[in-house]
Amino acid sequence: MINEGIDTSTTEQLQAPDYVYIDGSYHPLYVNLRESQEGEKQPPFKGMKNLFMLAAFIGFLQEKWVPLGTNRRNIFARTVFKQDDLVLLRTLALAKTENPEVLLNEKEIQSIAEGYANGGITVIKELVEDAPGSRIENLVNLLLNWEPYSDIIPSVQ
Amino acid sequence: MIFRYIKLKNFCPYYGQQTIHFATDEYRNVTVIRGVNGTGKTSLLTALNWCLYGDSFFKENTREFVNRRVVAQGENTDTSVEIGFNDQGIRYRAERKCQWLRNNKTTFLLQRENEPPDLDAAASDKIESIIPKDVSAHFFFDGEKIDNFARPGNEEEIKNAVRNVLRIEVFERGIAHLERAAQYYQRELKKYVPDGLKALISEKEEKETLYIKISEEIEDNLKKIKIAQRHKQDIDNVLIQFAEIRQLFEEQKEIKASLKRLGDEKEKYQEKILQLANDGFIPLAKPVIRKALEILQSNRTPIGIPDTILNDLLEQMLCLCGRSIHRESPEYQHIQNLISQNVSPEFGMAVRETENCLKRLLEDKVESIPAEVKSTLSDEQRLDKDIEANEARLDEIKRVLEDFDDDDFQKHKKAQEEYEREIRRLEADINQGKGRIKEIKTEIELLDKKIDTAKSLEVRAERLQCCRQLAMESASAMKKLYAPLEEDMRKELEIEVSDIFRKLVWKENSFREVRLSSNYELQVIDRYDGQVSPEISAGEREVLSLAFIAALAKVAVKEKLSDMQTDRFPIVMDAPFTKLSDKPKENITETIPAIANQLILFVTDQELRYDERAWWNLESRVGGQYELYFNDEIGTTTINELYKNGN
Repeated sequence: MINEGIDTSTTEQLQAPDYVYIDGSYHPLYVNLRESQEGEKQPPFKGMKNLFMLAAFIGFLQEKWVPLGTNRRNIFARTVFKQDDLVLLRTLALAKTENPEVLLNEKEIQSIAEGYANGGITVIKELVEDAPGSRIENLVNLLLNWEPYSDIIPSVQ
Repeated sequence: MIFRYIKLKNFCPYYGQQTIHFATDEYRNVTVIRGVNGTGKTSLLTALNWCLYGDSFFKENTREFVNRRVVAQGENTDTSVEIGFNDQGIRYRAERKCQWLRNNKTTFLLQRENEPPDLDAAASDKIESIIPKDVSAHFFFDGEKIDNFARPGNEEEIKNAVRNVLRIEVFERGIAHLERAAQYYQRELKKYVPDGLKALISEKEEKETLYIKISEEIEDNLKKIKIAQRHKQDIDNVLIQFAEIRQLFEEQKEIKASLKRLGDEKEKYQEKILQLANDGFIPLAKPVIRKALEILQSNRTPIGIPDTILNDLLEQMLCLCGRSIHRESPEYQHIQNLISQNVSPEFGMAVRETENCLKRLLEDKVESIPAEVKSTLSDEQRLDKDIEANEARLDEIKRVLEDFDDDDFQKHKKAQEEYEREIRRLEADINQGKGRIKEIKTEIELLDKKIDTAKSLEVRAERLQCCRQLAMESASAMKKLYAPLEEDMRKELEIEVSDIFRKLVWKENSFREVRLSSNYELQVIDRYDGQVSPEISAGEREVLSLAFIAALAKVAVKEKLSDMQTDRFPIVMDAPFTKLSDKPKENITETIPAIANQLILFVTDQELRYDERAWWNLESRVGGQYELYFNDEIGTTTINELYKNGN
């Protein structure tokens, strides 16, 4: 039966918090990546959400899931997510738990995504923020290393 | 408050149910209950207090009120006291009951005539508003202890009686409350930094000044650019007159325009790439999306159609698609399976929604974004090549022009280059200024928000200040009112005590007056203006106490200062004449019935004999008389009515 083991918690317990959280120690990095540096016309990320989502999927692809500890702080309101973003976050939870019942637990979905973003942000730090050259170019190069970008641009392999 | 009756059931020595009807007539307002020592007079006073206030007085446990015969026989019955009384023209019935054998639980109800009863706490609150417990103690009292009031050193008891009955302690409570409130507001005020708003406003002013200064600089630089461009144009016009190189100039101009166009185009590509890179996580999700879809599909994805709809389909023998089906068909079996899965509609909906969205993302964005990145990067590369070629040609022209052998031309050419440099510098300054202006604007917006918050805090601080001031002024005003009010009360009480005491005491001429000192000491003053209180007899002390109680009741009713609803007080006295000789007893029986609204006396046969003047004084005002008869054989007391309403 599909409904076996469905969490019987109350609706309130299954709701996600109003904000998305990151590890407090990465907050300056998030802020830096969102702001133009000297000599840059634009920063590499237009919003915290884009950065969080990329960090989460890189975290998954690199199998880096690091749950948040007590030093956490909110980075943007959950209302910033669009419907597609929310569905993509569900995929992370589905892939991690391999249990469709997780779809009813928004709190768990967000917590899993936060764990992957916490793992993935270190990759972004290394390849975008700390690498030499333009940060935007670094970001594009970072993407080009992964499927499906690499499938259609053989030159970057 | 006037008592109508008291009904006792299995209470102390009273076995079964027994009732006393009290005299309620305005003139015949005295009820006399006679009984020799040990028949249960004090138990009646206890019953009164227990019923109204739940007080145990002499008993530590409610169970001790239960009649001992009932206890001995193990009867499964209850113990109760019911009191009927009138207050402000309304009839009430109060009843306290103890189911001692069953659960030893005590219940209390107060019922206003023709209304549903109030129970327990609500009933107690109502009684408290009619005649508070601390006040009742001064009207329902044990006569054997009555002379306590007049004993030296009992000033505190008198003070409490005055404060309780006349309710002047309300002022003290009010003052204390207001002072506490003022302290609270003071503590709250400390949380607000008074200069916060001023500092923010001054910071905002500084930012606004800077904003204006930079805006002016930008305007100034724009003007300078226009002037430089005009000069450069003039030089361009001169230079173009050199026929040999005119063609080169024209080509140079075209290349520069082309480079500008290519630069703009490159910026657009870069913006597009940045946008695509920001959505770059969507294609990265491809393997995750595939895995998620596999999980959803391998788990026999529920469709989440409510059971009622599926049952209707089976009943009407219809497939989900609307075709007819029969019991053996696979479609019938499929619908039955769906029902057995018993999936909640929410879950089904979440699964469907996720599946549909993921399929759309796979078909749409997951593949299209990388393709767009590829084409945009390739366009940008092509553009870079064009830019490179144009810049190379421009350099070539520049070199040719530099080598042109004519002094006048070179002079103009140099000036042209200087103007070009200046224009570039000014443009850079303008861009920097614009960036700074943008930042300052954001900073000003942030400051505006902070100022709004600080302003609202300041309004709150002002309100707190007002509240604190108000509380302090109110406390001070109440203090000013309180002292004269207490003094007025004391004086009024003093006059009444003095008047009643002289009526009650037999040595009328020996005692000139009674004084109630500022520290609440009752002082009897003799004809020589000397204080004789310590030397007065026990009987005289009792008379003094009685006079004080009667005066207290009189002032309370007269002033209506009390927060009690009642405007009439019964006086209930247990053994009041024990220590009195004939003369003061006669005076009391003559005076008290006229002062109290209702008088209930519990007396022994010796305290109030039928053959003495004290009784004759009282007889015409007696509206009810009972005798307590104790049966020693069975150990219980019976209440017998002697006569009622003078019959």
